[in-house]
Parts: sequence; C-alpha cells; structure tokens
Amino acid sequence: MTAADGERELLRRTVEDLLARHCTPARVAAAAAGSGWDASLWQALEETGLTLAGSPEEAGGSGGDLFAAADIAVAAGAAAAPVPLAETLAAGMLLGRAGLAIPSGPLTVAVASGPGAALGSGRVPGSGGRPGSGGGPGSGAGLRRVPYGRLATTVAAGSDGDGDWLAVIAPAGRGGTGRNLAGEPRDEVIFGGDAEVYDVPAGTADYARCLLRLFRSLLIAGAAQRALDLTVTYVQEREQFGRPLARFPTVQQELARMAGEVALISAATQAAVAAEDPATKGPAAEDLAAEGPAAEGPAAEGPAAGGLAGAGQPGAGEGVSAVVAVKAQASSGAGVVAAIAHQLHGAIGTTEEHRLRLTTTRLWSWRDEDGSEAECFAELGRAALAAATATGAGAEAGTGTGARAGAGGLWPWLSGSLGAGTAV
Amino acid sequence: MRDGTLLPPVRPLPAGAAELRSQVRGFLSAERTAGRFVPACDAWLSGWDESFSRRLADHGWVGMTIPREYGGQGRSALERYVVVEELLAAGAPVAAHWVSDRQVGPNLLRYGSEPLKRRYLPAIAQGTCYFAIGLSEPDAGSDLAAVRTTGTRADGGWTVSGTKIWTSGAHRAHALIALLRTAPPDGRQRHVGLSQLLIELDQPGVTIRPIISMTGEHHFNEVVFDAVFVPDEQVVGTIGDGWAQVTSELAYERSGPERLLSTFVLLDTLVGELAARSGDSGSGDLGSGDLGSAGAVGRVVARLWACRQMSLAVAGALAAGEAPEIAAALVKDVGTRLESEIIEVARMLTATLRVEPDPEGSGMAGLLAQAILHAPGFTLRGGTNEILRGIVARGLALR
Repeated sequence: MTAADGERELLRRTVEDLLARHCTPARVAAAAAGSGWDASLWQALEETGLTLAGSPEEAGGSGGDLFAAADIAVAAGAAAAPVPLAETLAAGMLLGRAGLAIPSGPLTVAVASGPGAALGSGRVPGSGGRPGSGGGPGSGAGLRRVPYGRLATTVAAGSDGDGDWLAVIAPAGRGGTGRNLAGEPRDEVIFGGDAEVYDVPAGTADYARCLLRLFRSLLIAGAAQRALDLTVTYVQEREQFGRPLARFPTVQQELARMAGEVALISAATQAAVAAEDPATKGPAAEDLAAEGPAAEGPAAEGPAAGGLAGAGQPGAGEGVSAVVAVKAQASSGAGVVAAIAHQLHGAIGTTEEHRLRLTTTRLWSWRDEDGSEAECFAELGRAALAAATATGAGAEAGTGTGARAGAGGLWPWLSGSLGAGTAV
Repeated sequence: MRDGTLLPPVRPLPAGAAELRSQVRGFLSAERTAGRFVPACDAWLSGWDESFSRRLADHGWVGMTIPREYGGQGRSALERYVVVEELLAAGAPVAAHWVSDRQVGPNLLRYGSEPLKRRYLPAIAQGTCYFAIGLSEPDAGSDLAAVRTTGTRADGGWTVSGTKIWTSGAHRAHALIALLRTAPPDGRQRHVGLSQLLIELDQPGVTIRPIISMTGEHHFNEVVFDAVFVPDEQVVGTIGDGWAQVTSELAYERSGPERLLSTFVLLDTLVGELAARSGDSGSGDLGSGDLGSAGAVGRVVARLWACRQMSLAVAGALAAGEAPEIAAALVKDVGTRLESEIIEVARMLTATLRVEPDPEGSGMAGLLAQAILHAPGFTLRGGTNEILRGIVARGLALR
C-alpha cells in the first residue's frame, strides 16, 4: 500500500466512523419526518472539514483530490446520511473550478436546463437578461427540485448567449417545497434580486451537469453496497425450514445477481473517478497523444475528451462523458438492487420500522435524479451512433448490409474517448 | 463491507498500451482489407485459422507474456489484455491459439517443469502449437471434482484411461491439458488426488470423436483415452495438486474480455447500420431523433462499458498477484448475460428492416444467426452461471 493509499484508507475510515455514529436508523428516519436534515451531523462533518474535501484551499475548500470527495460521497450514500454532503462536495468543486469563493454552510448544485433541475415558472436565463441581474429580468424564475434547496446555498449553473454563468442563491426558504421518496428535501429555488451572478469559463455548466451525475452515482454506489450488506446479513440470520436463507440455492442466485449489479456500479464509478486522477491520467494522456493518425476513431481527439475535466472544453462537444455511462448504469442497477433486497428481506423489509427502506427509498429516488437511466441511455446511444458515423464505417455498413462488420467506430470510442484515462 | 470490497481497485493500464492498441488495430485493418478474415461472432471459439495465428505471432502477439528466454516477448498480462480485447472486438479468428495463449502458456510458466517449458513455450509464442482443455467428462460437468479419467502409476509415467468431452478443437490441437485422478479421493475430500497432465493427442490409444454443434460446426469433441502412456515429464506442477492448479487458472478464464465481447461484432454492425440509416433519411427514424433506438443501444453500451471496467479491475488485480475469485465470477455472470442481451437489442432494432437471421447471409443476417446459435454456450462454458453465482453467494454470505 502506498502512502497515498494509506491516507485514502484513513480518510475513508474516519468518514465511515463518523457517519456510523450519527446515522442510526432512528436519526435518519427522524430527519425525514422532521426538518429534512440532521443539523448536528452536519455540524460534526463541517468541524472535520469533510464537507469541502476535493475543493481548492484558496477558494475556501479543504484541499485534496476527487478520490477524497468521491469516497466521502460513497460513504454518505451507504449511511443514508440526511445532509447535503455530496451536494456540498460537488458545489465546492464547481465554485473552485470557476475560481469563486466558496460560501460557508451547506451547498447544493442546480443546472438551469437539462438534467438536474429544470426551469419551472419564470424566464429562461438569456431570454432577457440573467437571473437576478438588472433588477428584474429572470426574477421569479425557479429551479425545480433542488436537493436541500430550502436550507442550502444553491449554486446554479447555466449558459446563455453571453456564455456560461454561475449564480449563488442564498437559502431563502422561499418557493415550493417537496420531498423525494426518502424524505430528502427537493425544493423550488427562486432566482431573486439578491442572487449573485458570475460570468464563468465556457464549459462550466457542462461540468456542473457532470458533477451532479457523478456525485448522484457515487451516492447510489454507496447505497447499493449497503443494500447488499443488509441483505447478506439478513439471509445469514433469518432461518426458515430449519436453516438460514443463505443456504438456499435460489436465495444464493438472487444474492449473486444483486452483487453483480453492485459491482457494475462500483466499477463504473471507480473508473470515472480514476480517469480524473492526475496519477492515472498522466501516462494515459501521453498514450492517447501517441496514438496519432493510425487511430481509427475519435479516440485520438484528446486526453480527456469524454472525461469530467474535459466536459465542455473545445472539442468535447462531440464526445459524451463517461459520466453518462456511469449514471446510466447506476440508475438501471439501483432498481434491480432494491428489488432483490426487498424480495430477500420478505415482508419485514417493507415496514417503516425496518432500516432497509432508508436505503431503498434513496435508490428509487436517486436513480431518477440528475438523469434517469432512460435519459442517459438515449444520450449514450446517440453518442454511439455518432461515433459510428464519425469513422464512415456506418455508411459502409449501410451499403454493404454490414459486410464490413468489425470495422466500425464503436470500439475505438468505447475503449477510448468514453472514459479516457483508465480506458485507454 | 464497504463499496469497493466486491471489486479490486481500478488500476491504470500500463504506459504504451494505447500505442500497442493502435498497432493491433493497424494489423487488423490490413488483414480485413486484404480479405484474410471476415469478422464473426464468437470467433474465439469457432474462428480456427492457423495462418492468422502465425501472422499474429510474427508480431509478437501470441504468448506475449512468455519471457524472451522461452521465445516470448516478456510483455505484461495487461498488455496481453489490450491485444486480446482488440482481437475480440474485431471478431478475429483467434481460436487456434486461444487455449495456448490464455491458459497453457501462463499455466506452464507457473507450474511447468523446465523441460516442459522448453518444449512448448517457444512453439506457443510462434503461434504453431495448439492445445485443448480436458476438464469436463460425460459425468462431470459443473461437478468438476467428479472426474473419473484416471492416471495409474506406470514405469516412468502414468497410464491414462477415461473420456473427456466438450474439448474444443481437440481434432486439430497438438496436445490436451487434462485434469484427472491419480489417487482416490480421501473420504469426502474429493479435491484430493487430482493432477494435471499434458497429453499429446497424436498417439495410439487416443480416439477423438466429433460432436457437431447445432450450427453445423465442428469444434467440440469427445476424447477417449484407452491406456495411453504419459511420461512423467508431461506432468504439470505437482501430482495431487491438480485441483488447486486448475482453480487458480479460473479467475483468468472467467474475467477476460472474451466474457463480454462474443457478440460485439453484432453490436458494432448494428450501430453502423442504424447510423447509416439515420443519415440516409435526413432526420432519421432510427438515429439521433429516436430515443427508443438510441436508448436501446445506450442500454447495452452502458452495461458493456461498465462490464469492461470490471474486467479491467480484475485483470489489474491478477497482474498484481491477487486472486479475486468472487469478482472474476461476477464478471462472467454479468458479461455473458450481456452478450445475449446484445442479440435481443439487435433483433428488436432490425425488425423494421426485415432482417432475419440467416446462416448463409452476410452482414446483420449472418451475424444474428451466428450469435443466436452460439448464445446458449455463453452462459455454460467456463462454469455455468448458476455455479458461478453459487460461488459468489458463498463468498459473500458464508465465509
């Protein structure tokens, strides 16, 4: 184990221990039934600096890399932590990248179009000015179903004819309020005159969208693993016909199917995170450059063409982020995992009293938030078709009824620019 | 348990992997252009082409992990992974050297005696020496420890009698690596007394009978040994350690790219067709405008991408000397089911084009026929998925 691995392991343990102390089933359930969050858990997290891991210190973050932030988000998902922890981590990274100072307190990210939060009533930014600027245009525009919008500072991202913008909106507690299936606040946030709006580099809005999808996927990864752990424990303890459920081959088969889905989500999220790590990206980036003109597909476009860091950068528009594949897999797996967990828990798992629901209601909500699998599948499929067209192989296939099978552009794309870094 | 414990960590591929990948793509492109192979589904089982194997070996891409002193390239397991997935994604005919490259080479490097290594490894690396695997028997399928082929002690070796079945390529292979019983089981300890022997197939007492698949192809065989003498030099590893040796190989066998890519050529061709048709018709009814088609493609693409990340994670762990048995079994379970799911998506999306599977057909029709008729084997070979899921569950719940 390297020093970095050791540090990472230490951080992971620290987070898991802290969350385990606070996120008892009773407290998680109480947060959902009450104010929507657990203020004392939040205070404990803030005191340890965990809420802004992965954000640059000069912006007010705690420093550290995406690995740290990702591990914390996975742990938050596993613990069903009733606080905007993943949301704050993402917001810190977003502000940090844009070179803006990070406000104190809980944060949340919203995107003013597309996946995440769609504009509700009111004006689309750019149709007459920016939200909150100029004392009126866009004022009253709302972002729908913003996670913890009632109590967190919203960092909204969007783009218009003048480029990308970020808006920092104080938690006013205004607007409509809502909940997801787990009782987590999902609120309408209104652009008011007091919103601070900043011009930010091109690509920031795409980056925000990627962050939302990645962090939601990391939460799902944690929750899916927790659902599996709870189920493994249950089938070992619960006896029927004189033996533990785990001894029944049919139960074993379902448990393994569940594990397969959990592992797929884990592999996908890990790969997306590792693709952004400078240590792994360095050599891979050189490799890509070395591919040169011999490369058959869009794999040679650029080191991180499909990655998080490359989102929205010039040339990246053609590619689709690996994060889309990650969210697609996380969302589609979440439903399978939740269903098997409930089937193997039997009736007791469906009760309010049982802790399983704290995890499965999150899986059912999170799979639809920040891009459902249907949305991500379609986006990914369109990118696959575009990759095939880009090489001209598609046209060959069309005229020759696929006589040139195996020569298409799908593989170079799938093994290259989609998730460049680990996947080279 | 925590996230990540099911799977080893994702590790980066070695420096130079992309350049290697590019070289292999260049080679494959030239081979295709020259008409030296036609991409096919499941070609790692049925694409037996010895001249292709030799040309591949000329580039140093067969047995490439074999050290130079034994005629190989001394490349890493992950570099081999890159080459193999390129070959599989292209539907290249790699069946002839498949077992030599994936199984026997690494096995001999790990367990083989010096003379055994000298005898076989150089020929493996030249792409001229082919093997079959002798595990299954008529009464030992999923229950591998039930093998009844026996090796009886003889002067200077073993006398082997018994029957192996489903031995791919035995009718063309030079030798067979067999798991057999050299001592009776120790009570209920059935894994005791098993050994691995390399048996040359061109000798008296060996009868090879074809088993024709429903495709009409001949790749499976029944191999009968009738008092075949196998000298001590052909023992792989240690007599009595056969079970441990075989099971240690299984992580390689179960987690490789061949567990995800058997129908990739079909998917690639499908996507090419859809892209072409959406281009033909302007806005396109099957292309970017249609969430249904794109979504169905995206569903299998997302899963394939994630499966590949899993497979790579296991490959990285294997290269680091770990033995991630549960993760390897998971790769095979999810990957082989995906291979069949791709067929269903292809059928669904080509239905409006009136493409029907046709063994004589070219393009989609022919590929669909190959894929459909081969698909039942995907979740059987290398340990049925039910057995693998049992391994996973026991690893999770009963350890």
